[in-house]
Amino acid sequence: MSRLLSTALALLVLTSPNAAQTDARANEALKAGIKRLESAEYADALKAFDKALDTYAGARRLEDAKRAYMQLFVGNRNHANVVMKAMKVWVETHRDDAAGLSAAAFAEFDAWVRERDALAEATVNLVHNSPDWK
Amino acid sequence: MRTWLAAAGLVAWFLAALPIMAQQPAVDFFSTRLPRWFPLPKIPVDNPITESKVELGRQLFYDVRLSGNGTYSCGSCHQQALAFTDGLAHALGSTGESHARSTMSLVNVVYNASFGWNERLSSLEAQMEVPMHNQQPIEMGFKGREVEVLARFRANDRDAGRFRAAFPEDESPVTLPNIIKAIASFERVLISADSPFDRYVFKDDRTAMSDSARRGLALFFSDRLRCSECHGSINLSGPTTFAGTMPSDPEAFFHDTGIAAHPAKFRAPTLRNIAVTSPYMHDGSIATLADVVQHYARGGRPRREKSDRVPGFAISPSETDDLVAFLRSLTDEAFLTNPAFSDPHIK
Repeated sequence: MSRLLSTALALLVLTSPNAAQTDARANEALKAGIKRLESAEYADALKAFDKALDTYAGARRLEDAKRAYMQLFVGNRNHANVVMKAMKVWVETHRDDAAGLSAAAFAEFDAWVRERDALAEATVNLVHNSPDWK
Repeated sequence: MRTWLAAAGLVAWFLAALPIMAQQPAVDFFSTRLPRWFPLPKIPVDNPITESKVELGRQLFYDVRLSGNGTYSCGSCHQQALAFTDGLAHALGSTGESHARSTMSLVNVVYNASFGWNERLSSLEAQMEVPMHNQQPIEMGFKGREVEVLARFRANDRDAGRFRAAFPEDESPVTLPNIIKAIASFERVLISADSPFDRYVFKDDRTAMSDSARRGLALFFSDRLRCSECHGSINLSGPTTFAGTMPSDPEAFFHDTGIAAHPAKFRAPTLRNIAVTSPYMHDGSIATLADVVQHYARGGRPRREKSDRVPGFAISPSETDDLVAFLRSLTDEAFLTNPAFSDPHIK
């Protein structure tokens, strides 16, 4: 999973404090990451977030990825589009090795990515006035 | 490296955005009223929005004493269950006179960049002067009876108290400008954002929309039909305005859809809750959504002045059903029944 997608997950956890409470190790690493973030040590922050997010496993992690994408989708389409690209790459590079996921779970995630990608492209005019009006 | 930079930028953006958002004066008021996918609306500097002003506005919006003959309120034409329209092809005024146009919806009107079917009115406050004072036809019938109407409210202690709470700086707050400001404040909180379409697109609710409605969504935004080129933005309408946007060219707000008997340009209204606002178009001349789709599929009526935004398109009967299913998915039942928007005079 790309560092960018991990960062999106970190943003999700930052904005949803309850998301990581079920995993103490994740919490500890997240706190370290937030501390680095506050001191503008972005590289170290990302490493800490990666460590935290590594405690997530399998399908649970993909569900978190979905939620992270949706958080960005409603907040900033440009950033959501970048994360979508990362997810599409992840799907394409894991078709033969689904990181321990069942075939059904992988297929479900694959379908979700394609549907949300098409939806994002179709509804681009929702976030601003139609260019034709200007 | 590029990926890392993008990631760092993402985090930096998130942190930098927080103080900017906090500086917006309407943030506190709208924070509990707006979902994250709705932009922060612009509020006129000379009419800041407050809870007491909204509540006074709600009372006045539904108060028949505001019409000259004491029989009509704003809510007579703008009925909540019909997305603040009236189900008529032509609006009727307080004296029974018929208007040339149908009642416009007030759904998410806070985002409108201008007001009226084809007037160039720049604010809700300016728009409200029209039904108040219009004589041809008479709407609220306020003109010439201002003193009489204001006296109805000045004489009532409860009303006077509400005006004082809403306009504490004013020595004599029961005035027409304050009535207009209060009603405009109420209209600005009429936010509809919980339709099945919203739940599917923004909450990833896989059960919110039927398969047919999802196919209709794809058609609506497709290059073939291009519905969203006129009905765009978060309001699925013509140009909107909100925090961070610059004023658009007012002449770009309107276009000729080929529906009127004579050339005229009309706005693309919001499609939110459109299923409950029939009959359609500015003159109520089309009864059903399916017929509206067919009107646009034909490219409107052939006329030299018609907008090039209405070129026509091919659509099958099943696709028409899908498109209508999508339009029905824009109905926000919670909005249509929200007690906060209802008539407070009905016990």
